[in-house]
Amino acid sequence: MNGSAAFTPHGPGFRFVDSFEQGDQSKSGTAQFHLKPDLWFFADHFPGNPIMPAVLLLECAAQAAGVLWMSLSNTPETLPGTPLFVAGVDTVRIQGPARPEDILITKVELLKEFGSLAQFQFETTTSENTVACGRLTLSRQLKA
Amino acid sequence: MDSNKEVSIELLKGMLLENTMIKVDANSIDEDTILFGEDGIGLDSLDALQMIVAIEKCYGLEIKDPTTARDALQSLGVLRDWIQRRLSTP
Repeated sequence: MNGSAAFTPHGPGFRFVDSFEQGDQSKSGTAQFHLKPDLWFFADHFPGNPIMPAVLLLECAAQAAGVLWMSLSNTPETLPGTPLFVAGVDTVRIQGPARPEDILITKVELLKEFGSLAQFQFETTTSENTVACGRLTLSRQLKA
Repeated sequence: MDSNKEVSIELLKGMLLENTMIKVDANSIDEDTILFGEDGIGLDSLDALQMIVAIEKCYGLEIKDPTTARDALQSLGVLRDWIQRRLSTP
């Protein structure tokens, strides 16, 4: 699916999924995001050496996980556009830089769904290398 | 399911300390300490999820719903008994 505007509640300045494809295995999927050189954070992180901030790599993975969770769910609480929240981040490794013009490819897999929580494994790569991997948990509620 | 795996309070306590955000002195936790709820030591649903994933990984036992989780995760003693019962069930 393309055009993540229909699938995440984020505004355009904080949307880190351009397209999403659900995997052959029903509990996985792959998101893509093009790092346009004029993205707001590159100018200051860092001047003359633009790198996507690690915390935004996590946000990118969380949004990919959110799109997957919503695509797997049919309950009213997970209709497209319903906010999901990051409840926890585990064992994350940042393994390389993501730079302007890179295409971030984030593979996400649902590990466990439990009540209002769901835990995902993710790996984000560019054409050059792996930039991040780890596990995170999303919640349908602000407080876990 | 790994029925030969050790099930002890010490092992489960280690699992608890490794996977949750305990806010109390670990030495004060014994097999009867209530883990969740108003009378407990402050663990929340995210801690429950972490424990469920750890139990599944360690023993191959799946906890599918919040009701079962509430029953099984009352205390380390209750959890030990729950795991032993499940492991001994063919």
